[in-house]
Amino acid sequence: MRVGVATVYTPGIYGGAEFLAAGLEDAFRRAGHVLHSIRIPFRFDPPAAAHEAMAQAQSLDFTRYGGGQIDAMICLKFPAYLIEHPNRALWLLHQHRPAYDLYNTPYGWTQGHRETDKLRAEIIAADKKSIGGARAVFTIAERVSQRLMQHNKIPSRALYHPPSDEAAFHCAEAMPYIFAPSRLEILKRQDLLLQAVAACSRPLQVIFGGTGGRRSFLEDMARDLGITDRVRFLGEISRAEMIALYSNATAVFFGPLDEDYGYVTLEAMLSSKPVITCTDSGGPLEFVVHGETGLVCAPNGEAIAEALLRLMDNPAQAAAMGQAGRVRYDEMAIGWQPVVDALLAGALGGATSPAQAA
Amino acid sequence: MSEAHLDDQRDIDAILAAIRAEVGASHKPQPAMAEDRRTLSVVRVEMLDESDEGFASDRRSFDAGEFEGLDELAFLRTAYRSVLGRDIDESGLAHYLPLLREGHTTPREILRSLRASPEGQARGVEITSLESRFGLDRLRGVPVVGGVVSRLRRYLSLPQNLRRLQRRVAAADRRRRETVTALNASLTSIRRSLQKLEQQNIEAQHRADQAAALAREAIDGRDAALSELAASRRQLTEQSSNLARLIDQARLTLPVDDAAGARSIAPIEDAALDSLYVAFENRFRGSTDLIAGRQRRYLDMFRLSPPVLRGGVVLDIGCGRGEWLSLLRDANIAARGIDLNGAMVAEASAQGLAVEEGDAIAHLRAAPAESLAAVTGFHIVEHLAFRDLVALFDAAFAALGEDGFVLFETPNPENLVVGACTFNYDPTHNKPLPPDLLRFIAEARGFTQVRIIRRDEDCRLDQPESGFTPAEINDWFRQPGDYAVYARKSWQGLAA
Repeated sequence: MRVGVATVYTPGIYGGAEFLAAGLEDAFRRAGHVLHSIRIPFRFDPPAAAHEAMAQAQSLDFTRYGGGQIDAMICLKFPAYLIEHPNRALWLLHQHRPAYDLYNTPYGWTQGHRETDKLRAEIIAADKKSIGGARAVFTIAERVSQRLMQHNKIPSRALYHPPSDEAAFHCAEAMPYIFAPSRLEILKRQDLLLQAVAACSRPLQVIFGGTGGRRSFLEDMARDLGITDRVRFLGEISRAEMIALYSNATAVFFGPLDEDYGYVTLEAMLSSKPVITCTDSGGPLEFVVHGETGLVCAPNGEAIAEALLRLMDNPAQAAAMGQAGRVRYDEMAIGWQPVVDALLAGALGGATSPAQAA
Repeated sequence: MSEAHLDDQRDIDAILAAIRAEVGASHKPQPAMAEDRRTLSVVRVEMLDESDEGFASDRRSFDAGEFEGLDELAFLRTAYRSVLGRDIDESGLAHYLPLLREGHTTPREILRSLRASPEGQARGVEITSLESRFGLDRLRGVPVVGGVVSRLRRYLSLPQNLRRLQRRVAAADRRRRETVTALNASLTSIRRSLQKLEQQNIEAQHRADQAAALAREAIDGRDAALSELAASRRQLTEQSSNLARLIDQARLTLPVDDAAGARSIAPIEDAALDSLYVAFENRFRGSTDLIAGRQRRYLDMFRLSPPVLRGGVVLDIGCGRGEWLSLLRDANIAARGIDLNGAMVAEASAQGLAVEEGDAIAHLRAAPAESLAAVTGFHIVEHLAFRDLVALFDAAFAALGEDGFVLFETPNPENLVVGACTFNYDPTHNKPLPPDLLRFIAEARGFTQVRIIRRDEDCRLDQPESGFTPAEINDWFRQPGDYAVYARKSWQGLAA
């Protein structure tokens, strides 16, 4: 089958979305399909650029492409999903966030600006028509589906995909430390973990993997809290080192604010490690079962400290939770093949999509 | 908190060192990560070996003396690899390299401090002869004396530094000589290859010139032959239309009911059609060589047949231009042919083949009973009406001796393109014959061992037939264009 995967291209950016598109395309190729990568150029700035990109995407006809008919079109990101195609399924990473969940927050557009408010109305109208008009609507996580329902009243189904190097993750002897892999950014909330370490009744050791804009802030904070001897910031680490650090940890901490999906949770489960996360962390809550595969606690230092101590003081219990996490991962059948199957069935109308059912 | 857990309390840096050592030691790439389809295969050019700065990665004991004779950079790299089991990092390099180059520290001191670091202790390699010859390093720790000693030290260790320098120069010199030798060898072989290439180039150019001249000659010759042919063809066409006019005139002059006269004209008309059919065969049936090539697969069936081995004769009906008869003759098998087409018979006779003009069925009926070893017919049976087809099998059965057989090849309508289209090229074709129809007729008329030969492997009579079991539409287009029915006259079969 000839499959088109449409997403956006912003020069100089290669992040989670690009990784996801590459993984999906690879999976289609491995499943034996002919693949066409379609990239709509897109800029975030100025806001009016979104208007132009929308008009461009809506005017393109990809029914015939690359010397033949595209049988199924899979669209990933705004505004690529505005492309018209009779057999179109969406696998939404997220919508144009400045107009939705980030609207009227410090990270998105502010209410009251005439230009962006007009654009926001335009985006919402186009999304309603385009997402609602797709043969099937999937999202990468339950959290994204919830937002889509909340903002656009469009039902959708979450399709989970595996992190890269899935087969390389393994469990090894647990050593007495908490592993906290993530970019050091404000939304990832490593500061909560530092406060928790300071609040613990006995010294606990934490290893942070990854770098980011908040590194020096966090290092200063650790010094002010007097816990420099117990925490290590490794900065950028190799994939092999990261996998080894997962495999030897006693537990993994991942407490971001309203994360969409979060590979850290999945990687910890693959490594048979319990995950400590927070009640407002979003994506991780779809995977972590409190008391069974990890602990879900309130987003404050004391609550997290209590969770940390509970796992560090009971290594056997922590190990059992980790094993349960691995079992849960396997039971959820997270893999590229189910993603490919569901997307194709959806695009070709083989399965009743939630959008149609509604 | 359990006691066991307390004992397990390890320092965070020791943990990190242990994990990193483990990651560094496992050179096995992780399965999923090693896979990168987009990597291009690149031809590797082997570089001169500069690897005297490395020890086996699993070695755990060294002598400090082994690290001598290296320059500062090589020493630092080797020391990190050996003692810490990892590559030197940027900060380590920036720290140690100037100290070492300016003589503020010695290789032994660096080895000692690497060994004493938490990372070094975690790895735990053994290094002998680490104590300096003067034992002065230890005094540095003592206040006052230490300061004096560290200043004195550089003078005291001057001869030692000099020796080390000499060793290093000697080692470098040795490497340089080896490099020059290797380079010279490479240059010589490159020069030789170049000469050879040059020579080949000249020869190739020469050959190309010759070929071009030959091609020009051939083209000229072909052009001449073509124009000659075209002229002959014009002449023939004129003659043929003249002839047709003459025949028409002759017919007009005849009384309406003169049967004898009509009979005398008919053969002339038939002869004209015969020539047309030869032209048709040339266009559609394929060249003589091509047909002989296709027929060659049947030869073994004849070579191994008992009556043929006894010297029996093979009769080829509708022998055409005699391709099959030539093959049999080359295989030392006695054979003769018969064909209705006088022009074809003339062509075959001209090659010295035993061929006569006439009707095959009549000829078979006239042949003595059980006198033939085999009867063959290539692209004959599809020309016959059903009555004649059955008569052919009967007449052949009567004329064949024991273990004699017939082999009739015909277009295969299991290939739908053959059945629906190409079969109809030949205006003298009757109708396509499905394999099972011919099998049925052969069995019904007394033959016992009947098989359909679709593919080359079907010619092995001791093997089962390949058969045809279509699984998808395309199978109906992939069948071989021709098949043959093989049918044997066997008393054994009859008895059974």
